[in-house]
Amino acid sequence: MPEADNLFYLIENKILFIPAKQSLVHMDSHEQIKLKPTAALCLLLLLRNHGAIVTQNELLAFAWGESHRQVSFNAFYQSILSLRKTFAQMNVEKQIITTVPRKGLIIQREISVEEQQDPVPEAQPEPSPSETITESLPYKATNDKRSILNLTEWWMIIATVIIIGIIIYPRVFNEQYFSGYVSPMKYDGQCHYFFNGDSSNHLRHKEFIQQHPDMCQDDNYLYITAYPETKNISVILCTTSMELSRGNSCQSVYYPRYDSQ
Amino acid sequence: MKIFTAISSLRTQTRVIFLVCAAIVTGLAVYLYQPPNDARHNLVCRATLQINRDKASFRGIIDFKSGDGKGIAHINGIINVSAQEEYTVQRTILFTHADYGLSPVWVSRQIIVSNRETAPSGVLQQFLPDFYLKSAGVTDIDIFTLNKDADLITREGIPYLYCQKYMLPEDE
Repeated sequence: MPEADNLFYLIENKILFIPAKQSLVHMDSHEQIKLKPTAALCLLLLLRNHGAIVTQNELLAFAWGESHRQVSFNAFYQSILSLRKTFAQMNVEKQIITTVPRKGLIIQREISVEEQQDPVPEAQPEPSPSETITESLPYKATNDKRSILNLTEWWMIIATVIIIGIIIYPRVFNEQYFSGYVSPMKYDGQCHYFFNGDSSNHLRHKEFIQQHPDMCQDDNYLYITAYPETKNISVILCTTSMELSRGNSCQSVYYPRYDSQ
Repeated sequence: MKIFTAISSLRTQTRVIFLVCAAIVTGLAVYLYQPPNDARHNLVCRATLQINRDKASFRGIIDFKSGDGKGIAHINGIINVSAQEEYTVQRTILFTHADYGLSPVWVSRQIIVSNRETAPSGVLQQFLPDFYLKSAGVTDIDIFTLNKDADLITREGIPYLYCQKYMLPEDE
Protein backbone atom coordinates (compact mmCIF):
# COMPACT_ATOMS: atom_id res chain seq x y z
CA MET A 1 0.00 0.00 0.00
CA PRO A 2 2.59 2.58 -0.93
CA GLU A 3 0.03 5.28 -1.69
CA ALA A 4 -1.47 4.81 1.74
CA ASP A 5 1.74 4.98 3.70
CA ASN A 6 1.31 8.58 4.83
CA LEU A 7 -2.38 8.46 5.65
CA PHE A 8 -4.24 7.48 8.81
CA TYR A 9 -7.96 7.29 9.30
CA LEU A 10 -9.64 8.17 12.57
CA ILE A 11 -12.98 6.38 12.64
CA GLU A 12 -15.68 7.61 15.03
CA ASN A 13 -12.95 9.47 16.98
CA LYS A 14 -12.23 6.12 18.55
CA ILE A 15 -10.40 3.81 16.20
CA LEU A 16 -7.29 4.68 14.26
CA PHE A 17 -6.70 2.74 11.04
CA ILE A 18 -3.05 2.61 10.04
CA PRO A 19 -2.93 1.37 6.43
CA ALA A 20 0.84 0.97 6.47
CA LYS A 21 0.63 -1.37 9.43
CA GLN A 22 -2.69 -2.86 8.41
CA SER A 23 -3.76 -2.30 11.99
CA LEU A 24 -6.58 -0.79 14.00
CA VAL A 25 -5.72 0.99 17.24
CA HIS A 26 -8.23 1.87 19.94
CA MET A 27 -7.65 5.44 21.11
CA ASP A 28 -8.64 4.84 24.74
CA SER A 29 -7.42 1.39 25.55
CA HIS A 30 -4.49 1.52 23.09
CA GLU A 31 -5.46 -1.94 22.03
CA GLN A 32 -4.00 -2.70 18.62
CA ILE A 33 -5.31 -5.36 16.29
CA LYS A 34 -3.55 -6.46 13.18
CA LEU A 35 -5.86 -7.04 10.20
CA LYS A 36 -5.55 -9.56 7.45
CA PRO A 37 -3.97 -7.88 4.40
CA THR A 38 -7.08 -8.32 2.25
CA ALA A 39 -9.37 -7.07 5.02
CA ALA A 40 -7.12 -4.03 5.53
CA LEU A 41 -7.22 -3.25 1.80
CA CYS A 42 -11.00 -3.59 1.69
CA LEU A 43 -11.27 -1.19 4.63
CA LEU A 44 -8.87 1.23 2.98
CA LEU A 45 -10.91 1.32 -0.21
CA LEU A 46 -14.13 1.79 1.72
CA LEU A 47 -12.60 4.64 3.70
CA ARG A 48 -11.30 6.32 0.56
CA ASN A 49 -14.82 6.15 -0.79
CA HIS A 50 -16.44 7.26 2.43
CA GLY A 51 -20.16 7.76 1.86
CA ALA A 52 -20.15 6.01 -1.51
CA ILE A 53 -21.04 2.47 -2.41
CA VAL A 54 -18.12 0.28 -3.40
CA THR A 55 -19.01 -2.78 -5.41
CA GLN A 56 -17.85 -6.27 -4.58
CA ASN A 57 -15.82 -6.39 -7.81
CA GLU A 58 -14.02 -3.16 -6.97
CA LEU A 59 -13.17 -4.46 -3.52
CA LEU A 60 -11.99 -7.81 -4.90
CA ALA A 61 -9.85 -6.15 -7.51
CA PHE A 62 -8.32 -3.75 -5.02
CA ALA A 63 -7.66 -6.28 -2.27
CA TRP A 64 -6.74 -9.40 -4.20
CA GLY A 65 -5.27 -7.77 -7.31
CA GLU A 66 -4.94 -9.79 -10.48
CA SER A 67 -5.97 -13.01 -8.81
CA HIS A 68 -9.31 -11.62 -7.70
CA ARG A 69 -11.26 -13.68 -10.27
CA GLN A 70 -10.24 -16.86 -8.48
CA VAL A 71 -11.41 -15.55 -5.12
CA SER A 72 -14.53 -17.22 -3.79
CA PHE A 73 -17.40 -15.25 -2.38
CA ASN A 74 -16.83 -17.01 0.91
CA ALA A 75 -13.25 -15.70 1.19
CA PHE A 76 -14.46 -12.18 0.46
CA TYR A 77 -17.28 -12.54 2.97
CA GLN A 78 -14.85 -13.82 5.62
CA SER A 79 -12.64 -10.75 5.17
CA ILE A 80 -15.56 -8.35 5.62
CA LEU A 81 -16.84 -10.41 8.57
CA SER A 82 -13.43 -10.30 10.24
CA LEU A 83 -13.47 -6.49 9.86
CA ARG A 84 -16.88 -6.25 11.48
CA LYS A 85 -15.83 -8.54 14.32
CA THR A 86 -12.70 -6.47 14.91
CA PHE A 87 -14.75 -3.27 15.22
CA ALA A 88 -17.12 -5.02 17.64
CA GLN A 89 -14.17 -6.30 19.65
CA MET A 90 -12.96 -2.72 19.95
CA ASN A 91 -16.29 -1.62 21.45
CA VAL A 92 -17.56 0.21 18.38
CA GLU A 93 -21.32 -0.04 18.71
CA LYS A 94 -22.22 1.45 15.36
CA GLN A 95 -22.06 -0.68 12.27
CA ILE A 96 -19.13 0.76 10.37
CA ILE A 97 -19.50 -1.28 7.19
CA THR A 98 -22.99 -1.50 5.79
CA THR A 99 -24.11 -3.93 3.11
CA VAL A 100 -26.24 -2.44 0.33
CA PRO A 101 -28.07 -5.43 -1.17
CA ARG A 102 -27.12 -6.23 -4.78
CA LYS A 103 -24.87 -3.17 -4.94
CA GLY A 104 -21.96 -3.49 -2.58
CA LEU A 105 -20.62 -2.13 0.66
CA ILE A 106 -20.49 1.37 2.10
CA ILE A 107 -19.21 3.30 5.08
CA GLN A 108 -22.13 5.62 5.66
CA ARG A 109 -21.76 9.40 5.84
CA GLU A 110 -23.02 9.25 9.42
CA ILE A 111 -19.87 7.40 10.39
CA SER A 112 -17.25 9.98 11.19
CA VAL A 113 -13.99 9.41 9.32
CA GLU A 114 -11.11 11.82 9.62
CA GLU A 115 -8.02 11.59 7.49
CA GLN A 116 -4.69 12.32 9.12
CA GLN A 117 -1.40 12.97 7.38
CA ASP A 118 1.75 11.25 8.53
CA PRO A 119 4.03 13.97 9.94
CA VAL A 120 7.20 11.89 9.70
CA PRO A 121 9.42 12.66 6.70
CA GLU A 122 10.36 9.65 4.64
CA ALA A 123 14.03 10.55 4.70
CA GLN A 124 14.27 9.69 8.36
CA PRO A 125 16.09 6.48 9.18
CA GLU A 126 13.78 3.54 9.55
CA PRO A 127 13.23 2.78 13.22
CA SER A 128 12.54 -0.63 14.59
CA PRO A 129 8.99 -1.92 14.01
CA SER A 130 7.80 -1.16 17.50
CA GLU A 131 9.04 2.39 17.31
CA THR A 132 7.57 3.10 13.89
CA ILE A 133 4.08 3.54 15.25
CA THR A 134 5.20 5.60 18.20
CA GLU A 135 7.08 8.17 16.21
CA SER A 136 4.87 8.45 13.21
CA LEU A 137 1.60 9.07 14.99
CA PRO A 138 0.49 12.21 16.72
CA TYR A 139 -1.78 10.32 19.10
CA LYS A 140 -0.95 8.87 22.44
CA ALA A 141 -2.91 5.84 21.32
CA THR A 142 0.13 4.86 19.37
CA ASN A 143 2.42 5.00 22.36
CA ASP A 144 4.22 1.69 22.46
CA LYS A 145 4.31 1.64 26.27
CA ARG A 146 0.67 0.61 26.35
CA SER A 147 -0.92 -0.58 29.50
CA ILE A 148 -1.63 -4.29 29.57
CA LEU A 149 -5.08 -3.55 31.00
CA ASN A 150 -7.62 -1.22 29.48
CA LEU A 151 -9.86 1.16 31.40
CA THR A 152 -12.74 -1.32 31.72
CA GLU A 153 -10.43 -3.98 33.12
CA TRP A 154 -8.93 -1.55 35.64
CA TRP A 155 -12.44 -0.65 36.79
CA MET A 156 -13.34 -4.31 37.17
CA ILE A 157 -10.27 -4.96 39.32
CA ILE A 158 -10.81 -1.83 41.44
CA ALA A 159 -14.49 -2.70 41.92
CA THR A 160 -13.53 -6.24 42.94
CA VAL A 161 -11.04 -4.98 45.51
CA ILE A 162 -13.65 -2.57 46.94
CA ILE A 163 -16.29 -5.31 47.14
CA ILE A 164 -13.82 -7.67 48.84
CA GLY A 165 -13.03 -4.91 51.34
CA ILE A 166 -16.73 -4.36 52.04
CA ILE A 167 -17.26 -8.10 52.55
CA ILE A 168 -14.23 -8.66 54.77
CA TYR A 169 -14.39 -5.45 56.87
CA PRO A 170 -17.24 -6.49 59.20
CA ARG A 171 -15.57 -9.86 59.72
CA VAL A 172 -12.21 -8.41 60.65
CA PHE A 173 -13.43 -5.52 62.75
CA ASN A 174 -16.52 -7.05 64.29
CA GLU A 175 -17.19 -6.57 67.98
CA GLN A 176 -16.01 -9.46 70.11
CA TYR A 177 -16.95 -10.34 73.65
CA PHE A 178 -13.74 -8.89 75.07
CA SER A 179 -13.58 -5.82 72.83
CA GLY A 180 -15.39 -3.84 75.53
CA TYR A 181 -12.68 -4.57 78.08
CA VAL A 182 -10.41 -1.74 79.12
CA SER A 183 -6.82 -1.74 80.20
CA PRO A 184 -6.73 0.65 83.16
CA MET A 185 -3.28 -0.16 84.40
CA LYS A 186 0.01 0.71 82.84
CA TYR A 187 1.93 -2.33 81.70
CA ASP A 188 4.53 -3.07 84.36
CA GLY A 189 6.43 -5.71 82.47
CA GLN A 190 4.72 -8.56 84.28
CA CYS A 191 1.28 -8.92 82.72
CA HIS A 192 -1.53 -7.08 80.95
CA TYR A 193 -4.77 -6.41 82.85
CA PHE A 194 -8.15 -5.92 81.23
CA PHE A 195 -11.35 -5.07 83.14
CA ASN A 196 -14.89 -5.34 81.89
CA GLY A 197 -15.79 -1.83 80.80
CA ASP A 198 -19.48 -2.08 81.71
CA SER A 199 -18.82 -2.19 85.45
CA SER A 200 -19.72 0.98 87.35
CA ASN A 201 -16.31 0.94 89.03
CA HIS A 202 -13.20 -1.21 89.13
CA LEU A 203 -12.61 -1.37 92.88
CA ARG A 204 -13.17 -5.11 93.08
CA HIS A 205 -10.88 -5.68 90.12
CA LYS A 206 -8.09 -3.71 91.78
CA GLU A 207 -8.65 -5.42 95.10
CA PHE A 208 -8.43 -8.76 93.36
CA ILE A 209 -5.13 -7.84 91.69
CA GLN A 210 -3.64 -6.76 94.99
CA GLN A 211 -4.61 -10.04 96.62
CA HIS A 212 -3.41 -12.22 93.73
CA PRO A 213 -0.06 -10.90 92.50
CA ASP A 214 0.91 -14.50 91.69
CA MET A 215 -1.43 -14.47 88.69
CA CYS A 216 0.48 -11.65 87.07
CA GLN A 217 3.51 -13.28 85.56
CA ASP A 218 5.06 -14.53 82.33
CA ASP A 219 3.80 -11.52 80.35
CA ASN A 220 0.29 -13.01 80.30
CA TYR A 221 -3.07 -11.36 79.70
CA LEU A 222 -5.69 -11.24 82.48
CA TYR A 223 -9.30 -10.52 81.58
CA ILE A 224 -11.04 -9.84 84.87
CA THR A 225 -14.83 -9.64 85.03
CA ALA A 226 -16.51 -8.39 88.19
CA TYR A 227 -19.39 -6.18 89.19
CA PRO A 228 -19.92 -4.36 92.51
CA GLU A 229 -23.42 -5.82 92.61
CA THR A 230 -22.39 -9.50 92.44
CA LYS A 231 -20.23 -11.83 94.49
CA ASN A 232 -18.60 -13.82 91.71
CA ILE A 233 -15.45 -12.93 89.81
CA SER A 234 -14.14 -14.43 86.61
CA VAL A 235 -10.59 -14.33 85.40
CA ILE A 236 -9.55 -15.56 81.96
CA LEU A 237 -5.80 -16.00 82.00
CA CYS A 238 -4.28 -16.08 78.50
CA THR A 239 -0.86 -16.36 76.99
CA THR A 240 -1.62 -13.64 74.45
CA SER A 241 -4.23 -11.05 73.57
CA MET A 242 -7.80 -12.12 72.81
CA GLU A 243 -7.55 -10.31 69.49
CA LEU A 244 -5.12 -12.96 68.32
CA SER A 245 -6.70 -16.33 67.76
CA ARG A 246 -3.61 -18.27 66.76
CA GLY A 247 -1.43 -19.65 69.48
CA ASN A 248 -3.57 -18.36 72.31
CA SER A 249 -4.13 -20.58 75.30
CA CYS A 250 -6.36 -19.54 78.17
CA GLN A 251 -7.30 -20.85 81.56
CA SER A 252 -10.62 -20.03 83.20
CA VAL A 253 -10.53 -19.14 86.87
CA TYR A 254 -13.86 -18.69 88.58
CA TYR A 255 -14.69 -17.45 92.07
CA PRO A 256 -18.35 -18.18 92.92
CA ARG A 257 -18.21 -16.06 96.11
CA TYR A 258 -15.10 -13.95 96.07
CA ASP A 259 -16.04 -11.80 99.06
CA SER A 260 -16.11 -14.84 101.29
CA GLN A 261 -12.35 -15.22 101.02
CA MET B 1 -30.16 -6.74 23.98
CA LYS B 2 -27.73 -3.88 24.14
CA ILE B 3 -25.97 -5.39 27.12
CA PHE B 4 -25.44 -8.65 25.22
CA THR B 5 -24.00 -6.69 22.33
CA ALA B 6 -21.71 -4.87 24.72
CA ILE B 7 -20.59 -8.14 26.34
CA SER B 8 -19.96 -9.81 23.02
CA SER B 9 -17.87 -6.86 21.91
CA LEU B 10 -15.49 -7.19 24.88
CA ARG B 11 -12.11 -8.66 24.14
CA THR B 12 -11.17 -12.06 25.54
CA GLN B 13 -8.86 -10.64 28.21
CA THR B 14 -11.66 -8.44 29.56
CA ARG B 15 -14.03 -11.40 29.71
CA VAL B 16 -11.44 -13.51 31.53
CA ILE B 17 -10.77 -10.74 34.06
CA PHE B 18 -14.52 -10.28 34.58
CA LEU B 19 -15.01 -14.00 35.19
CA VAL B 20 -12.04 -14.18 37.58
CA CYS B 21 -13.27 -11.14 39.55
CA ALA B 22 -16.82 -12.51 39.69
CA ALA B 23 -15.53 -15.91 40.83
CA ILE B 24 -13.38 -14.35 43.59
CA VAL B 25 -16.21 -12.18 44.91
CA THR B 26 -18.77 -15.00 44.74
CA GLY B 27 -16.43 -17.52 46.36
CA LEU B 28 -15.54 -15.12 49.16
CA ALA B 29 -19.17 -14.19 49.81
CA VAL B 30 -20.25 -17.83 49.90
CA TYR B 31 -17.34 -18.77 52.16
CA LEU B 32 -17.90 -15.99 54.65
CA TYR B 33 -21.67 -15.83 54.69
CA GLN B 34 -22.63 -19.46 54.42
CA PRO B 35 -25.51 -20.34 56.75
CA PRO B 36 -24.49 -21.47 60.22
CA ASN B 37 -25.90 -24.93 59.53
CA ASP B 38 -28.02 -24.85 62.65
CA ALA B 39 -24.83 -25.19 64.67
CA ARG B 40 -25.24 -22.05 66.72
CA HIS B 41 -24.94 -23.85 70.02
CA ASN B 42 -22.95 -26.84 68.89
CA LEU B 43 -19.72 -27.30 70.73
CA VAL B 44 -16.64 -29.41 70.37
CA CYS B 45 -14.22 -27.86 72.77
CA ARG B 46 -12.12 -28.30 75.87
CA ALA B 47 -11.51 -25.91 78.75
CA THR B 48 -9.20 -25.83 81.71
CA LEU B 49 -11.08 -24.54 84.70
CA GLN B 50 -10.13 -23.51 88.17
CA ILE B 51 -12.86 -22.76 90.69
CA ASN B 52 -11.75 -21.19 93.94
CA ARG B 53 -13.97 -21.04 96.95
CA ASP B 54 -12.67 -20.02 100.34
CA LYS B 55 -9.39 -21.89 100.74
CA ALA B 56 -10.47 -24.83 98.60
CA SER B 57 -10.18 -25.17 94.87
CA PHE B 58 -11.14 -27.33 91.95
CA ARG B 59 -8.73 -27.68 89.04
CA GLY B 60 -9.70 -29.69 86.05
CA ILE B 61 -10.57 -30.11 82.42
CA ILE B 62 -14.07 -29.97 81.03
CA ASP B 63 -14.68 -31.36 77.59
CA PHE B 64 -17.87 -30.65 75.64
CA LYS B 65 -19.19 -32.37 72.56
CA SER B 66 -22.68 -31.41 71.50
CA GLY B 67 -24.80 -31.41 68.38
CA ASP B 68 -28.28 -32.32 67.16
CA GLY B 69 -29.81 -31.42 70.51
CA LYS B 70 -27.61 -33.77 72.52
CA GLY B 71 -24.27 -33.47 74.21
CA ILE B 72 -21.70 -35.03 76.46
CA ALA B 73 -19.59 -33.27 79.02
CA HIS B 74 -16.58 -34.96 80.57
CA ILE B 75 -15.20 -33.47 83.72
CA ASN B 76 -11.88 -34.56 85.10
CA GLY B 77 -10.14 -32.79 87.93
CA ILE B 78 -8.97 -32.54 91.50
CA ILE B 79 -10.50 -30.82 94.49
CA ASN B 80 -8.09 -29.56 97.13
CA VAL B 81 -9.86 -28.78 100.35
CA SER B 82 -6.66 -28.62 102.34
CA ALA B 83 -3.09 -29.85 101.97
CA GLN B 84 -4.12 -33.24 103.32
CA GLU B 85 -7.58 -33.43 101.82
CA GLU B 86 -7.64 -34.04 98.09
CA TYR B 87 -10.34 -35.65 95.95
CA THR B 88 -10.60 -36.80 92.37
CA VAL B 89 -13.54 -35.80 90.20
CA GLN B 90 -14.17 -37.86 87.09
CA ARG B 91 -17.61 -38.08 85.58
CA THR B 92 -19.55 -37.86 82.35
CA ILE B 93 -22.77 -35.96 81.91
CA LEU B 94 -25.16 -36.82 79.10
CA PHE B 95 -27.34 -33.84 78.41
CA THR B 96 -29.81 -32.42 75.95
CA HIS B 97 -29.69 -28.89 74.72
CA ALA B 98 -32.26 -26.67 73.13
CA ASP B 99 -32.76 -23.01 72.36
CA TYR B 100 -35.25 -21.10 74.43
CA GLY B 101 -35.48 -17.85 72.54
CA LEU B 102 -31.90 -16.82 72.05
CA SER B 103 -30.57 -18.69 75.08
CA PRO B 104 -29.37 -22.26 75.21
CA VAL B 105 -30.92 -24.53 77.81
CA TRP B 106 -28.99 -27.59 78.86
CA VAL B 107 -30.61 -30.36 80.86
CA SER B 108 -28.46 -33.17 82.22
CA ARG B 109 -30.17 -36.53 81.66
CA GLN B 110 -27.66 -39.00 83.01
CA ILE B 111 -24.58 -38.74 85.19
CA ILE B 112 -22.00 -41.48 84.81
CA VAL B 113 -19.60 -41.36 87.72
CA SER B 114 -16.25 -43.02 87.23
CA ASN B 115 -15.10 -45.50 89.83
CA ARG B 116 -11.98 -43.35 90.21
CA GLU B 117 -13.99 -40.46 91.57
CA THR B 118 -13.45 -39.94 95.27
CA ALA B 119 -15.08 -36.60 95.95
CA PRO B 120 -18.01 -36.70 98.36
CA SER B 121 -21.18 -35.04 97.12
CA GLY B 122 -21.07 -32.41 99.85
CA VAL B 123 -17.68 -31.19 98.62
CA LEU B 124 -18.68 -31.38 94.96
CA GLN B 125 -21.72 -29.20 95.58
CA GLN B 126 -19.46 -26.35 96.66
CA PHE B 127 -17.76 -26.24 93.29
CA LEU B 128 -19.94 -27.69 90.58
CA PRO B 129 -23.44 -26.64 89.61
CA ASP B 130 -26.29 -29.12 89.91
CA PHE B 131 -26.04 -29.73 86.19
CA TYR B 132 -22.91 -31.84 86.81
CA LEU B 133 -24.30 -33.57 89.90
CA LYS B 134 -27.85 -34.66 89.16
CA SER B 135 -30.51 -34.43 86.52
CA ALA B 136 -31.00 -30.69 86.38
CA GLY B 137 -31.26 -27.87 83.93
CA VAL B 138 -28.94 -24.96 83.42
CA THR B 139 -30.38 -21.86 81.83
CA ASP B 140 -28.00 -19.10 82.80
CA ILE B 141 -25.36 -19.83 80.19
CA ASP B 142 -24.56 -18.20 76.88
CA ILE B 143 -22.13 -19.27 74.23
CA PHE B 144 -20.07 -16.71 72.32
CA THR B 145 -17.77 -17.45 69.43
CA LEU B 146 -14.55 -15.60 70.17
CA ASN B 147 -12.75 -16.67 67.02
CA LYS B 148 -12.37 -19.75 64.89
CA ASP B 149 -10.33 -21.43 67.62
CA ALA B 150 -12.32 -20.71 70.76
CA ASP B 151 -15.78 -20.29 72.25
CA LEU B 152 -16.63 -18.57 75.47
CA ILE B 153 -19.28 -19.97 77.80
CA THR B 154 -20.61 -17.41 80.21
CA ARG B 155 -22.55 -18.19 83.35
CA GLU B 156 -24.58 -15.72 85.33
CA GLY B 157 -23.50 -13.10 82.84
CA ILE B 158 -19.76 -13.40 83.32
CA PRO B 159 -17.14 -15.54 81.57
CA TYR B 160 -17.05 -19.06 82.93
CA LEU B 161 -15.17 -21.20 80.43
CA TYR B 162 -12.74 -20.29 77.70
CA CYS B 163 -13.34 -23.34 75.54
CA GLN B 164 -10.67 -24.23 73.00
CA LYS B 165 -12.16 -25.86 69.90
CA TYR B 166 -10.67 -29.01 68.43
CA MET B 167 -11.40 -31.29 65.53
CA LEU B 168 -13.06 -34.62 65.94
CA PRO B 169 -11.48 -37.43 63.91
CA GLU B 170 -14.35 -37.50 61.38
CA ASP B 171 -14.05 -33.71 60.87
CA GLU B 172 -10.38 -33.79 59.98
